[in-house]
Amino acid sequence: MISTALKTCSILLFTTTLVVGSYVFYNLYLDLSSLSFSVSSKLSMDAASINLILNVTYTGRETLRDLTITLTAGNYSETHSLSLKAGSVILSYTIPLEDAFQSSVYVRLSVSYMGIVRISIVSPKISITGVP
Amino acid sequence: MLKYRSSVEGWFSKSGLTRKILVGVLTGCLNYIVYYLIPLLAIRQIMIPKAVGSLTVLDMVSGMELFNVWVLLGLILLSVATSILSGSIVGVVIGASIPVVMIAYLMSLFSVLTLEYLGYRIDVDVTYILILLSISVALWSIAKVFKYVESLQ
Repeated sequence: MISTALKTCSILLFTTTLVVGSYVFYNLYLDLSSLSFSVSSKLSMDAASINLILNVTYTGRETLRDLTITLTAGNYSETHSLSLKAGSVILSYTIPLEDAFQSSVYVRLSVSYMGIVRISIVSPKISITGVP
Repeated sequence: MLKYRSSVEGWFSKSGLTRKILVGVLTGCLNYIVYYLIPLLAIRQIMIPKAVGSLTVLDMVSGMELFNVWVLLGLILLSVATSILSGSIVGVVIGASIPVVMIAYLMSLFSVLTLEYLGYRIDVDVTYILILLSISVALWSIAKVFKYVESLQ
């Protein structure tokens, strides 16, 4: 009797996990294929920092929730938490010059799907060098 | 006559033991395919390309050999022990623990999948999915032990 109940619970849990897992990965595929971002930069007026502008574009149908974007350069790190609807968002980061030149700059994008699957995407490192 | 009967019984028990070992080895090979080879091939061929489109490097999975002698040996030993001790609670418990051990092993390997695609590093954390799968497998194993205990009553 107990063994039958346990086997039923096991089958239900296994099936539910597979269904939810497939749903999550399908959504992951849709969202990643409809997400893009570009970076542009300009030197700020006081020349003590670099103002880096991150343009995030999302063309998916639903809102992309639990999305965080972190820009890291040496000791500098700033995180923006977003619920991204279709369209684009411009994020501005002001990086101190010493961090920008001494270390590589990279962007980390983290998404959590229903709290079950967590995805983290780290961009290639960008080296900022001064022009003599 | 008595001596002859005794030697015949001994031969039969030896034969029985050989059969049990053979069954154990075959079951071990089957377990290797089910719990190691199929998940590894599935992760290599199905999950990742669907998740990220085309793929250039898959760090962890590409480094793993399809033929892992230690995993195969471990599974064969456990299966042989299960086969020899079948009919006793120890055999049932060992047999029931094999899927749980294998899921735990796979969990330690694949809880975070790390990929590289066009210079982008992608980490996919599937710990919770694996935990839920291992709970369902553990429930199934406990059910097998309960079934054995119920059959004794």
